[in-house]
Amino acid sequence: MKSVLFLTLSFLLVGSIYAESPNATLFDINEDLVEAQVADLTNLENYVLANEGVTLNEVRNFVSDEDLNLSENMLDNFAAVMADHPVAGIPSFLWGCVLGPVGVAIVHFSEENKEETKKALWGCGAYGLVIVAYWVLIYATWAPFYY
Amino acid sequence: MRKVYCLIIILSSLLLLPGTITGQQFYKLKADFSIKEKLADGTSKLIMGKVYYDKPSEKIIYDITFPEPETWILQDTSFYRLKADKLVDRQPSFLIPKSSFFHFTLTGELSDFGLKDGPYKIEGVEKSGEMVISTWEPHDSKLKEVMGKVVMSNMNKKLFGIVFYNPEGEMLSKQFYKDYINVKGCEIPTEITQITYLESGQNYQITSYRNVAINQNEEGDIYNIRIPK
Repeated sequence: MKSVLFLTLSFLLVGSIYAESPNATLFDINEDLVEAQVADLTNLENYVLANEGVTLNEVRNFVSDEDLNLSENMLDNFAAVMADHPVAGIPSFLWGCVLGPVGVAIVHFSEENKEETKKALWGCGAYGLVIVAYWVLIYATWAPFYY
Repeated sequence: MRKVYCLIIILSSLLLLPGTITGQQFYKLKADFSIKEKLADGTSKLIMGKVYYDKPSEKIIYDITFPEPETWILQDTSFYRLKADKLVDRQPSFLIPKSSFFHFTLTGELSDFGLKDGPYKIEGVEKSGEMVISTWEPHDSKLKEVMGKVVMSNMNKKLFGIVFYNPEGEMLSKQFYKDYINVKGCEIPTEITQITYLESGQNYQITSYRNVAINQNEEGDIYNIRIPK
């Protein structure tokens, strides 16, 4: 009886270890489909590899023959992915506006970028103006009662 | 006197031993690259050139030859674009070299995509055939607002695939790492396929690396490239 129980448990244990994980299907990839999607680009890639140093202007004929719908400003589009990322997703102006000089320091040390720091300084200036306007308003409201 | 010599030899051996055990350190990577991308709107992109990564200075240099010659430098949190050795643009960068594919490859962290030491926590591990699948959840409150779980699969202790989700549980993108080569003991995947899921369809991107060199001493000029003012 003990051995039957042991065998049953062993089978269950092995079965549970090797059961297909629901996440496994996430990693199925149809490589033929992916290759087909970029097949025309692979032809252009091979052409550029065979003709070292050629630029887009020099392969215009090849591109039109292959009917390639190349995106305009390819480099700019790629560059945009790497750049233009404000600190923690908060625009520099708001850093300066909400956190004043501390915000400017955060932007300056995180970005080391004069343009972003300048925006934060403008924000800090706006913050300062709001503070001054607030105290002028308080003074104007209460001064007649004291004098 | 002999005792002193013996002590010096023993101490020197103990000091040098950790270096011998940890093996070779990888500090430079160079490769020819191409990035092919087919977008959901039907347009395509192709960028080719050479890429250099210098680990000590945490600097990535893209020496682009196609579609047009340009040099891109990513260092700290800045991204510089140079045309004919002139600086044409400087922006804060989204890609931080220390969290890049190149850095993880040289430090051996690619197998967990650097998540182990990042703001993610492992939530579960399962095995499926040759794959070991792990699920990671963000544990940083700011990150939780923009990113959801990450599911990663490894085969033979190498990263095979990684899936990113948004906080609502919708799949954002999948990456597959394949065709690993071993250069001087450093394991490098030479083809990375990324599928990005959008409302308008799917973007397909294939990044290929060729002629990979590790710790090469030539081309020192490009690693030490100065950014013009």
